Amino acid sequence: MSEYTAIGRSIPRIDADSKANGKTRYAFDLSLPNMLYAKVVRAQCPRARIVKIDVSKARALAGVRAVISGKDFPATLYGPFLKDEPPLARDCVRYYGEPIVAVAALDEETAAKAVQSIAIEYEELPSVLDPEKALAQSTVLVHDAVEGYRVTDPCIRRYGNVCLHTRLHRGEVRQGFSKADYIFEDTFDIPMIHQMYLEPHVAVAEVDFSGKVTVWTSAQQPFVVRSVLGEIFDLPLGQIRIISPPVGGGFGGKEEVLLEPICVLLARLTNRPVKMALTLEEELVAGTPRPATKVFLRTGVTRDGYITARQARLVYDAGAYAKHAAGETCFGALTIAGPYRIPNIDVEGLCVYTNKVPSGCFRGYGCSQSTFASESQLDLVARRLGIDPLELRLRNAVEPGDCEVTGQPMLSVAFKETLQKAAEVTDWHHRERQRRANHGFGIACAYKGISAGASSAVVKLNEDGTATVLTGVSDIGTGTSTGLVAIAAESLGVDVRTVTLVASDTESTPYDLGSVASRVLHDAGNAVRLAGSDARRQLIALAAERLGANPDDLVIAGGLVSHRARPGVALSVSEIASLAHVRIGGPIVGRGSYLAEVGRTRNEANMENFPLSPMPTYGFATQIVEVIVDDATGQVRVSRAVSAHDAGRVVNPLLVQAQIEGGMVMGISLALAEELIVQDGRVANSNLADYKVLTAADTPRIEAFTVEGSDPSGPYDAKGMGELPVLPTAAAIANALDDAIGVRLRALPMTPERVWMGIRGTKGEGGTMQRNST
Amino acid sequence: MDGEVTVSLIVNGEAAQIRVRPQKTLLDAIRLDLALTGTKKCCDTGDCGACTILLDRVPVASCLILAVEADCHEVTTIEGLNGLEGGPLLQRSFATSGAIQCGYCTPGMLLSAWSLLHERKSPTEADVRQALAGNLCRCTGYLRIVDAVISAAAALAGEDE
Repeated sequence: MSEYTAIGRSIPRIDADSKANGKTRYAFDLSLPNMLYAKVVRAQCPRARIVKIDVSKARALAGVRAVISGKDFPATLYGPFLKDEPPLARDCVRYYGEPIVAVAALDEETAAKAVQSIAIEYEELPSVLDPEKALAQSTVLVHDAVEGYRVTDPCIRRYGNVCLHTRLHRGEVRQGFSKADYIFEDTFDIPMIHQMYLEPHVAVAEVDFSGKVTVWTSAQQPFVVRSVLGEIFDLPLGQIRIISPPVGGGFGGKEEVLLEPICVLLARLTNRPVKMALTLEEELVAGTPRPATKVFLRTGVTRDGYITARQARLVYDAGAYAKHAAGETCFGALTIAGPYRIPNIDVEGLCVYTNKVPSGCFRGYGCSQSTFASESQLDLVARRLGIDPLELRLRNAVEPGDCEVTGQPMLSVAFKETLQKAAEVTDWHHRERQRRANHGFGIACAYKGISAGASSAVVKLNEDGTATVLTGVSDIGTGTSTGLVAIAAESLGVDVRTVTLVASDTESTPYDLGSVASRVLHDAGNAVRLAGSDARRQLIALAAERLGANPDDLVIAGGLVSHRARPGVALSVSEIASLAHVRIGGPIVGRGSYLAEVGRTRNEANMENFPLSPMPTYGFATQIVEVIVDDATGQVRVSRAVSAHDAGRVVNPLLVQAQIEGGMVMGISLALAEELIVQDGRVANSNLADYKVLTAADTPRIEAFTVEGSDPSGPYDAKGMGELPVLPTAAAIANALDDAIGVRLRALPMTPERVWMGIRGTKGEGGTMQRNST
Repeated sequence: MDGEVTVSLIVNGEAAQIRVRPQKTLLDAIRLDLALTGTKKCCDTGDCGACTILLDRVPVASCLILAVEADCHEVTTIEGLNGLEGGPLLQRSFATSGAIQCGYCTPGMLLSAWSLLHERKSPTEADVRQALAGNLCRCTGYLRIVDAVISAAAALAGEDE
């Protein structure tokens, strides 16, 4: 029996009934009196000087209320790492689809008509679309002077078309390779994909008589939106209020500021609320997709399968602006080691500008790319050395106390347990008995750092003893609000049904970095736990005074504060909550703030130009899949999918299972179907008929498991779960495909066409294994 | 406004009249003119299923139909699902079995699922997956949605006995 009453229970989402009845109001559903609708004119070439913008026809159109271009904004550029982007293009365009002019009109139809009437004269310039070319040549610079941009961390190294260049290293790779019996070299290509949340980007801005700005936006980080708007418009933060209603999916794609500055300026100029929503075509052409990535990987192993050295070079294609692709590069470089002991490692991460749609962040923050490369190559190693791929991973697996290359120790590690769990569930060691024709088994693992930045929370007790949690974090669908309510109830000692939650309003809720980095349950959860404990202390103190008891003798359980030793000496939480109003003149208010303790063991000598903090804790996962390949068509079908996770203590089994299932199906879709195809600088498949996302009919049941884990850094020993389930899937499928028919694909997605070409032609190109002769 | 036409509908059991321009989609009319925002807009090209409603009890993508085409027809949106036989039970099944995450696909999913159960009392998993293949969900991986439909079907069959 658990000692807890709310933690560890499968409580259905607190918003489930509202959503099942169509009553939840998303930002997309918001409509204000007198509201105008905005649309933008987008660049029709990848790189050009803007010679002339003619908006006269648009201005003359009935129903148009404002037309703005880049020059109507203050000159401030913004971005999460490099401050390199204007809200609307100024003087030049850097990608096909870049917004240049914005229009506000009485309705969407009129705004669209106005956009079509605007004539832009370009002087087209040569563009650079391939990151390797962008690295090699300096004749086409996407940005003239990247060195001159402001940065969020002075260590960010940038030059030419490179917006971030980092290096992580430990030990001596040359020595490490000399100890290897075999050296493997492989190159992997991971495409640009769209996060494909179903609620497109949308924002509504209103400016009141005093100039105060309010924005409702479908965003993962309302406090970041606030600081960016403050920067662009030079406004004090108290003059800006950002509200994120429940978000219709994010997956990293709603961490960038896209529409908010445009809506704010139009609202200011027209004195009316302004709404702007992206169409799905705009999302695909000019959202913030996962950056395309090329990974070169060189790994030395002994004949027993122990890794002695690794060298890696990861090139992330940022597109036209650095955005979060810069951060993806850092985390990709960090996690290319995988959850393995690699004594000698040397990794270079490059984030490169090209004249393409700027990439941003995607679930896993760069790790979906590094994991695909690392886990695919490990499988090749196992295959060539004749070692079972699961056994190879066990031999190299990290253990508690091992350090990342940054020097950060990994304290809570139940990685091997996930390998064992997945093996046990699938009867891995007897899989040959189950093998059929064109049938393959694949395994892959992943780890991901959890936590980032600051979280704070308030728990206030209402007069009747019910509690309200204030948190700055938005629930983007993962169910974190339900988890936070459980944590508040547990820490207060009250029934979970008596707790409600107010979320993500920068004016009424305290600061929180937002719904990113698998951090909400961990970081915001810690803050809520501290706030709940603070309120609980106050409750007990007041009860002790009233009862004439020592506070240490009082306990709270089941909504009752009672004396340990004296039966019958008790007050209900509601009595004390009410009493507070006459005794101290107001409610009991608990406060909590949390910032992960990291960096004390940071090994600066190993980290060159690395602008991110290490993480306080890590999650681990193992996935095993079975595939059936149709060798006539190249179609790959995943027939079994198992995912085993170290999630620390599980706060809500139902919601954790749901995260695992959803993440792995997303991983299957990315592995087999998804790719944004760029032709001549333009995204060519900008609709859901051409950008295929797998459906209920195309995907298998997921078998989700958690292993017994415990993380002292998390609230009630919990870890975050948002990102991990998507990370190992593509490699697991690639490994299963090789197992089934001997075709090794080092490029994603594994479309029937690619698989068929693999069957017919060159099997396993793009890599080598050499016996070490040094 | 010039060029507007009158459209008469039965919406969730009640008669309604709206004035719309002929090019307006039924989806926009539902969301803007009828102010029923439970019906979701995403792709606007009939590919994602988020805007699924029932037109004369048949599931359709409301973004592919003009409001004028719905004249004299019966429209059921998510706000009216609890008035249909089996609707509330199906909604509860979604809510309690973890079939809902961000919830943006949920209204369309529920209406597609209701329509399946209306036609087939005890669908197989394959039936359910096929019936929901026009409704994308990015959060759940579909499993709990499929299971919620199957368990609702079983519960409804139990009620009938």
